[in-house]
Amino acid sequence: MKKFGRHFLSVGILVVALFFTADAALGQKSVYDETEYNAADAPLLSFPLRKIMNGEMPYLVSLIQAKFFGIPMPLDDTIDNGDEEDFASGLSDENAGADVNPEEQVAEASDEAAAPEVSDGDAAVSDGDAAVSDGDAAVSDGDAAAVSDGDAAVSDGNAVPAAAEDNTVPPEPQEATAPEHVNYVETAVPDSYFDDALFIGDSRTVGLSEYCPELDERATFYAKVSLTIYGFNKKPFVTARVVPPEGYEGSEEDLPTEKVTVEEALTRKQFAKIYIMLGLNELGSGTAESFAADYGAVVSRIRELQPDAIIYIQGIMHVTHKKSESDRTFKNSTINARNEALSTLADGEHVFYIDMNSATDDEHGALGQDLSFDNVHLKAKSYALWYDYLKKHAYVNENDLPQIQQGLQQENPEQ
Amino acid sequence: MLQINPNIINFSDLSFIFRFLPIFLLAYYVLPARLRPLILLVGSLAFYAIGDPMSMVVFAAAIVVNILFSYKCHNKSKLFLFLIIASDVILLLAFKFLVSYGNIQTLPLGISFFTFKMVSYQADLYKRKIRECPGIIAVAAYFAMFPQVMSGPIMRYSDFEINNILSGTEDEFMAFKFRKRLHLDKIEEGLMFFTLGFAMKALLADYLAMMWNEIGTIGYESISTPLAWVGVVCYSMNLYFDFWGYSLMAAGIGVMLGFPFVRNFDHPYSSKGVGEFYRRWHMTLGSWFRDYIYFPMGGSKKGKFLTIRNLFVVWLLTGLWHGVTVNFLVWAGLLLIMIIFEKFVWTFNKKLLSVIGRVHVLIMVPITWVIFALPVKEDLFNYLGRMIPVSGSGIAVNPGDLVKLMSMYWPFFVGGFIFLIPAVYDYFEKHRKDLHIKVVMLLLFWICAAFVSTKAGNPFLYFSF
Repeated sequence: MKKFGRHFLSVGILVVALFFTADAALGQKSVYDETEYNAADAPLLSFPLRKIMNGEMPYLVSLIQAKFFGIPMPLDDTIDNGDEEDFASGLSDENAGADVNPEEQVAEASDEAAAPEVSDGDAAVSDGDAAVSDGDAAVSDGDAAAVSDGDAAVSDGNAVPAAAEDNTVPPEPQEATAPEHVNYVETAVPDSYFDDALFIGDSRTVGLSEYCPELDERATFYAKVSLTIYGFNKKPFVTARVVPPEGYEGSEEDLPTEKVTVEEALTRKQFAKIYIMLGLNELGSGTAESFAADYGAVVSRIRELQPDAIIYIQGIMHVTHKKSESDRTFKNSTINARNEALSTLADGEHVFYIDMNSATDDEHGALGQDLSFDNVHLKAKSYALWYDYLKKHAYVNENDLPQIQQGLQQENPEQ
Repeated sequence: MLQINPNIINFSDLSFIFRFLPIFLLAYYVLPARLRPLILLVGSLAFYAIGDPMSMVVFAAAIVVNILFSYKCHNKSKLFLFLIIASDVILLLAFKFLVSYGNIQTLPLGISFFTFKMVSYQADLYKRKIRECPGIIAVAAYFAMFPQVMSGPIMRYSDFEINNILSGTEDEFMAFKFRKRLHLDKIEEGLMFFTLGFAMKALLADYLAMMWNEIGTIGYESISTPLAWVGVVCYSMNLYFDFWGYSLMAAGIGVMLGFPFVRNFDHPYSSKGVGEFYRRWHMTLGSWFRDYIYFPMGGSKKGKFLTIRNLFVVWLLTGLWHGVTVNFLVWAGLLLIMIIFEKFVWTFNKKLLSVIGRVHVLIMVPITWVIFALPVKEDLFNYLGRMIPVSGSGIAVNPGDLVKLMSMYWPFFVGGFIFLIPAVYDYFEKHRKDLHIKVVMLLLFWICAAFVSTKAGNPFLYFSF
């Protein structure tokens, strides 16, 4: 015993290190990313260690489990970039069945833009909540009279992500049915404008909620540190009331809450304005085009779920000049390219692009150094600049302008 | 061209632990024993070259010049002793000023430490504490040795030369079986200390540092008063476990190579006063100032006035050594005042002295760390202004900030408080040869490695916004 324990730590470290290294080497191409060995990277054994930190099993352990205990190996594993590749299709699963060339589909859909879609759009709008919560399925079911039309509508819906990849604006079902063309104008708005607004974002939006009480007490925030556009339908972090069972009669307040994804939360509550600022955590993966395509897919999904809301795509806030100069990933040039691509998603009708960087940029076109401590986030006192920008750059229905003016008057009587 | 991860010089980085260290240990113990000083020198130079290639010239030049002068110092030449010490000190100060005026970005790696080792070496030679002038390779290896080159501990040459494994005298003629066991014993012993330090760094200090960084992200003018006070505790513990952890790792690597364990921290926060605190905090720096500045000037043996003068000089230099910005002088000045009061003013009443001493250590010292942490005047005033909010209620303060941060970081405070209890470390030290402690350390080692793996080579996971 004495002899066994004498070099327990050294031998133990050595044995476990060899195990993890073997695990990393053997598990390549199946559960770990394929990597070329490079002394500049972390040692091989960090792959299984990271896996453990993600709450998963290293390769050899899950192999043994599969071989001897029949527990299936998780092969569809989340290797980081896996997320984005099948993201667009993941958003609307039903198009997996459609074996039509997506481009053809787009053409088809836009050719037939007039007749079938009108009725389909009608169904979605008039059915209201039911159609919204059931998504695409409700569209085809809802309009039983026009089954074939419904089909066409479905394929149109499916084509949205594909279309977004070409950076074309997704076709809007409501467009044709709208009784009159609504004209939106950019204007300043009072605080009350944000009463029915939702903010979706990463840690920067979290900061906005924490250090902008005027906004926090009015608006709703679905924001979380390290949220990405890909987390929209994957990360359950929004606290929402459970969907009441059929015939539930109690008050909504008595319902228990649960954690749901942003996508799910949007099926349960409607908003009038939805502000999105995402994209910082995505800078290290994909291209401006692939990012904007995936972003576009999310925006059109939100349009489906929240047909009455106007959506603000906020350009990604810059990082400071110092950060941009020294970091491989977080560069303002990359941010600008992505913002450029994001701006094309706007349609001036329901989706608007705004860029708050003009409120926080310095002479380098970067986040002002004195506004940030960590070169990425605004300091508490700087969030007012962002909010100020949002208040001065809102889009409102032309017809509502007098009301907005009145609200502004009440807020600042001296003007 | 082979690319090497520059993080390899960071003891808590997996590249160091699983690449540099095992390769070095193999070379050190498998190659012939008489080559060990050379292997230590070559390995250390390689370590330095990876860590800071730009400063390699400065480092190498300092080593060569010091070796050349050392022969004269050994001959009791006061002039040459003065010349070499002056040039070492000027070298250090020059770089400190260059950095603080923005001419260069960072100090050469470890310059504060290797210059101090050099000065102590020359003085020890002159005073014949080192009897025989050692070989060139041994001295160069002493100056350069990688476990200590970055941030100490400042080991004396006397601790270097008693390493019988380095010189090969202990195991040269041993049978292979016994030699192997001796080597493994040393590695095992060193790994125990290394792992404990690794845990302090990776599980406590790194997370406390993240919280301190979040306080900065909010902006010092916008933190709530309770958070400002908790921030003081957060930074104090971050600094303590970062440095103690590093020191344990460095000393542990030293033990793996056959050196004696160099103690650098001895539960400073259980001290009864600031004076004692700094005899137990960064002990190798404190004893360096004591042996090469304070005692040569007469120490406390020549009356009250000269004692105060000597303390003043020591603390002035301590402040400058940490940095040539004003905040370090203020930091050192406050400590000096507390020490003088403890030594000469509060002594009239034993009870009072012990109460004030504890207040100094547990409240004033942490506050001085904030001064130490914030070199920019506005930041410091903002921070102190939030601690004692006399001048208003701050800008855009969110009163919920403390609750939010503590809900994320409380486990690291709990862990920190546990390691503040001297009995915890003492138990480890006493029972470190017992199997149950070894099992705990093995677990701890891999937990740390797993935590560190999420950061290493993947800044993306670490910095997710």
